[in-house]
Amino acid sequence: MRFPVRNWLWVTYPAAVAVFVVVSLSFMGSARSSLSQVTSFGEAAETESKIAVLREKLSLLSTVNVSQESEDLELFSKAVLPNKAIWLIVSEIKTAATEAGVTLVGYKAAGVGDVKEASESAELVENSGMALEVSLSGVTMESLASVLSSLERYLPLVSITKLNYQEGSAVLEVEGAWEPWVKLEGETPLPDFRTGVGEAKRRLEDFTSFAGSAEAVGESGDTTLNPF
Amino acid sequence: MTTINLAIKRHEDVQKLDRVRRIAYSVTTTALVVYIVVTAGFLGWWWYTSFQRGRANEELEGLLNQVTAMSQQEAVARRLASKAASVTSYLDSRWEMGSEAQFYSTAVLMPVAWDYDGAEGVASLTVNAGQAAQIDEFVNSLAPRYTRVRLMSINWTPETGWVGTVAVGGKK
Repeated sequence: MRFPVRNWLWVTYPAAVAVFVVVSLSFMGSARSSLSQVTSFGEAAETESKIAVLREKLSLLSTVNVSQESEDLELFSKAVLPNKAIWLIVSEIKTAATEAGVTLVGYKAAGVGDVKEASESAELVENSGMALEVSLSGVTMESLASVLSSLERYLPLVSITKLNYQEGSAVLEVEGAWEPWVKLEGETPLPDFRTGVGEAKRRLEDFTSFAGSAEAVGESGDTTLNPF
Repeated sequence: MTTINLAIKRHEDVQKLDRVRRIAYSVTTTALVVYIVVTAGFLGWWWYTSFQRGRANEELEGLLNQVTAMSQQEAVARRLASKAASVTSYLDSRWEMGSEAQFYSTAVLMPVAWDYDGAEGVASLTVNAGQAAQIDEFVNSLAPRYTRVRLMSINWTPETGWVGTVAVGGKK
């Protein structure tokens, strides 16, 4: 009896479809790494967030006028020196004492002892602040008020960290503000500096820069920056 | 004699086979259509996200190049932010001694001695007075300016009169 092949020809259709499905699935399986990116929503979201950060940063940077901002930077550097120009503090004290009519008896670096000893020890000089111990004579409370008020209106900024006043004399410890330039490797987002700069400029409006303070303003430091 | 009609059985077998064939065709066609639709949808979505991702990467690279080109502006901006913060912070933390001295020079009693320690944030004032009540008045005048005011000692001698020592701290 002949096998009725004709009766089973219809099997070729489902078989062909099955082969097609298997072959196409194996093809897509071989491209699994490329196709799996469809489901990597985290990576796409990270890219979008980086783009948003960079757009915001660019919009802020596009408003930076280097020449004008450099003038503000110079003003702030006169207020908070980038190096220990202690001779400026001495000039301030001398001027304030002269204007108030008191006598500057003497001064020395505070907390360091003899200045000569400090210069022989680089570590000692490096670790010391920018402070002076100042002795005044012929002082009254009114003239002391004049000296202190004058000092607190000069640039670079100073603060009185210690005071010992007896009628006729006073010993002050005057500390100057300084902060070295830092290496800019921060990974922090670019701050919106305008508000802070405006506030600082407003507060320094009535201050007087000392002649020679510009020479004390130096600039150094790397500008290696993380773009984010 | 009994006759077995095999034609009926053969007809039934053909009908069964035909039914199986129709069911197989239906299931296969349905499965094929579903498979094509799902695969087409998946591939379409893949193509779309790949296109978007490529575009986002190009934009990211472009923005990075622009930011790198503005490194000078960024350096100035960061230094400005840092210096401005230093200035503001320094002024905020500084005790304005000039205004203190101005106040003492016009106070009820002008101090004859004044000791101030910035690290501790405290000061000691010594006043001379003809009457003890004046020292009290002086102490009371300090209360609006400082959170801590304390009369440490009060003495009287024929040579100096009333001498009071007041400790103050925590400027308001």
